[in-house]
Amino acid sequence: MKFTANTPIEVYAKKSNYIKGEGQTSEWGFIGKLYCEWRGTYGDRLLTATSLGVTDSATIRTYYHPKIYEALRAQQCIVAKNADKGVLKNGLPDKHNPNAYELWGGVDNVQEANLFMEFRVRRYEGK
Amino acid sequence: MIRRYVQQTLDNALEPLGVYSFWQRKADIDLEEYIVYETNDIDEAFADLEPLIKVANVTIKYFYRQEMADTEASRQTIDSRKKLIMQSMKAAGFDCPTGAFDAGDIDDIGYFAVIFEMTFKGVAYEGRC
Repeated sequence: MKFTANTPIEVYAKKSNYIKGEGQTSEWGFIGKLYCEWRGTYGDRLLTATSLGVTDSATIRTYYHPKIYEALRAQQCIVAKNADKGVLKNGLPDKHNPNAYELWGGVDNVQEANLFMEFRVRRYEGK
Repeated sequence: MIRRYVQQTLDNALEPLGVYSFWQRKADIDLEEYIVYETNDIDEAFADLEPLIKVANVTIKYFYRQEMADTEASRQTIDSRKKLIMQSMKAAGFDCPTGAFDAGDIDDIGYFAVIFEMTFKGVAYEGRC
């Protein structure tokens, strides 16, 4: 698989704990940093995404990283484009930061070879 | 407000059994059984513009995995949880006039729910509501 990995990204995952007498406490923790090929969406693909309510999305191709792969599969994650530290504001994802993205449509361990990963992201707009 | 009091009451009774209680929505913790509750505080009686009596309404939803309804042993576990929720909340001063209601898979998430509608009346200065 050939691609040019020149865009740094950082992945943060949400982890929740329970404290007796208080309830749950959730925090976003840093998982890892990678360099990836970041391909923005345009043309027909953008029109299709827009019809689904997604205005900004991208396809990411990068190297396999087991910790990031498992986090993307099992936890709610935020992908910080350009390794922007400002995607978390007061410990929460900042939906006004244009570099905050979330996973959209699952992650693929290409051919299960543990060499490359591919996944799509969309702009994080909160819930 | 009443939220913290409800949280402590439910945790004292159920947290040792692995049943966690969440206000409004469940966190990303994988659980076989859990509780989600919502609260509502009302100032009911006034004197000289200060509240005399407050009423708190609490809706408790006890969720358990659907598969627990498949064996008698786990059905009995569910019955004991329902009884424990009722007893612990009543001991804390709540009343449940309509009892526990089996609501089925109300959120379509593979969990059945039991709903308790509870009320608490307290004197305003007691600090619990």
